[in-house]
Amino acid sequence: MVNLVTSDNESFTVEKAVASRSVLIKNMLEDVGESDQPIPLPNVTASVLKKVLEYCDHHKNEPMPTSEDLAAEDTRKRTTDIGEWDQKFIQVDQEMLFEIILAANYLDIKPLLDVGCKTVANMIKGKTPEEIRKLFNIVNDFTPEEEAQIKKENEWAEDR
Amino acid sequence: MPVQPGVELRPSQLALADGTQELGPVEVAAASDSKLHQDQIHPIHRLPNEILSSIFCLAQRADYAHHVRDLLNLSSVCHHWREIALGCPRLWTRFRPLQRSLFDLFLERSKEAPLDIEFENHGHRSEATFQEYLTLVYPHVHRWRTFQLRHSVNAEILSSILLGPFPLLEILTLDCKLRRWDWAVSAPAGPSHAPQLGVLRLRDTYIPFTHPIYSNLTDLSLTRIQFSEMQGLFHVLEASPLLKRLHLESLAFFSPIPFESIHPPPPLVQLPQLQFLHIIHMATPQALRATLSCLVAPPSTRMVFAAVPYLEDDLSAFLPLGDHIQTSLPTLSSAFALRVGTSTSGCNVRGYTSRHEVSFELQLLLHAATARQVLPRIFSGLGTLLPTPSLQFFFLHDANSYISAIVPALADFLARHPDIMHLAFEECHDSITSILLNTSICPRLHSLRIEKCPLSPENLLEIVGLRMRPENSGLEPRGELDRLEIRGCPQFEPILTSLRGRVTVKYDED
Repeated sequence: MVNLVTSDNESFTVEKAVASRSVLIKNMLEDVGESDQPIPLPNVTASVLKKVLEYCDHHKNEPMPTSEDLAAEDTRKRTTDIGEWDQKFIQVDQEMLFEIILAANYLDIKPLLDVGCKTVANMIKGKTPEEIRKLFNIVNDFTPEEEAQIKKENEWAEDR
Repeated sequence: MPVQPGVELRPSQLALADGTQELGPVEVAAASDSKLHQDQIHPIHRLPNEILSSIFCLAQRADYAHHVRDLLNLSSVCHHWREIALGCPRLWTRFRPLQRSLFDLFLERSKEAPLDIEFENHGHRSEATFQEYLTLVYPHVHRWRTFQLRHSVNAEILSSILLGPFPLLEILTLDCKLRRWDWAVSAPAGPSHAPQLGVLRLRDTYIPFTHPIYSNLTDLSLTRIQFSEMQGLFHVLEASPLLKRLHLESLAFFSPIPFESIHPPPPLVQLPQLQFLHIIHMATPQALRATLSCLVAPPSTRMVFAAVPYLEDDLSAFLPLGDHIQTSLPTLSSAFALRVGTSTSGCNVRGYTSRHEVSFELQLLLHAATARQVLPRIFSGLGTLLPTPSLQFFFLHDANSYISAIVPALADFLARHPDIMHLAFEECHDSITSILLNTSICPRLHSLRIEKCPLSPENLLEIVGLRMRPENSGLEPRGELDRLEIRGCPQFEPILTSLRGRVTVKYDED
């Protein structure tokens, strides 16, 4: 078993197979060897780690992505298809969604990072700039020059 | 202090951001406020740039007009998003005919990233459009990563396009509506230099197998090509020993393929790295059989075949000899589970590994008129022409359209597989499920699943009584059935208590 301590000082004891879905934790365990020392995770809160561990537990028996898989993903067209369980898992509010993405990035859990990024990609796909701004509370802060350039680009697109 | 895009800063915070003033008590308080404010801003602003650019890459749609529109939209949200979009060259690498200014804009933003070049003639684009497009993209041929051409061009033009060189080309797709015979003098020369090419998809277009293009391929797809004889196809496969995926579709052969064997027998084609083999809708069932007869693939290769049987066909019309299957195509002889589904449009035979993964699938398209004659022969071939020495699970779905035809063949099939431990019937007629009243069939049956079947309660009770393992009865066990799964069969509700007294029952009304 592995003991993980979150930024808000909560402790989670999990199976090694579950914790090792995180490449960061896996490497730490390999470096440290057998030890009862808790592993501090200063960038992850308890509520987010709980959710991340739920994902890791569900996928604990799946093969880890190889470097060949990752290279292939970079070179080929990636789809935004998400598995049925993962879709349900990631149905959370926006705050939690982005926290999961940040945690997956920090903990180096590539498949979870993919699920999070695909979910955000699906949210913005096909939306107008104004719809995206509204969705994520983004302020339009373009300079007049940028506005003019954007207007020109949009006119070219209309001419196609 | 980095200023987050989309955050409206108050004067005290602006002073902090500016960094020109000494910090006093008010500013220290403001700094604390600022931290609080940052925590309250939308979490998307906390994503690192590289994650946001990955999200932008994932947000692209297949339709090119949508793809272009989405890219322009993403770069029109705010200053920060625009910087990220414009700083990510791989977002701007996909090209189809575009308005010139937009083409130049995309090309400039793609910087030196490899390009994906596509041209597809849907009937409304003129030859002039193609030539104009080619004039724009060809000077960058050294950057092409993929080239996808779906347009009717003659071999001479195609040969000139393929002159290259293509140092970065990985994927080449040609659907050029050429005369598609392998012996035609009009076959185009392949790319002159494409050392990275791994994926080749040819439709109505053929590149001679003597071209070195084949030697490094990992993914080959050939569709609607007519070979003078089977050997022509084998030469292509021999030239591609590294294949991981092979897709053959609607291939035809000018010379007739003898049923028994090809003379002289061609050497076996070894594809030791093959992971997926798809052979569908060849001109004749014999073409599928002849192709399989010459292939050697590892046990992990997943296989899908689709064919239209003739009235007199059985599995031997599609499959090679059992010896060849066992030694050279072990995927087909190692099914742990077999699922046969029949419907009005045909029959589907699917094999599974012991890890419940699909290992092969044979899709036979049948007309209702021929199904009654062909289906019994298909069942007769299961376990013989298609060897199933490891079979433990058999699943039959929706066979009720052809009951009179398949009951004897199914009973015979089950009788030939005494080691089957798990059976499942879905939407099967009473006469099929009643086969189990004969205890010499599947004597080691351990679990039975009945789903949406009209089997009578009396018959089910009798089947369970005949096959259950008696407890402390002092009698010789007559069977090993200890688990019953029932779904969508309300007629069994009154006998559930009685069944539960004998075996473990999982009951689902839906």
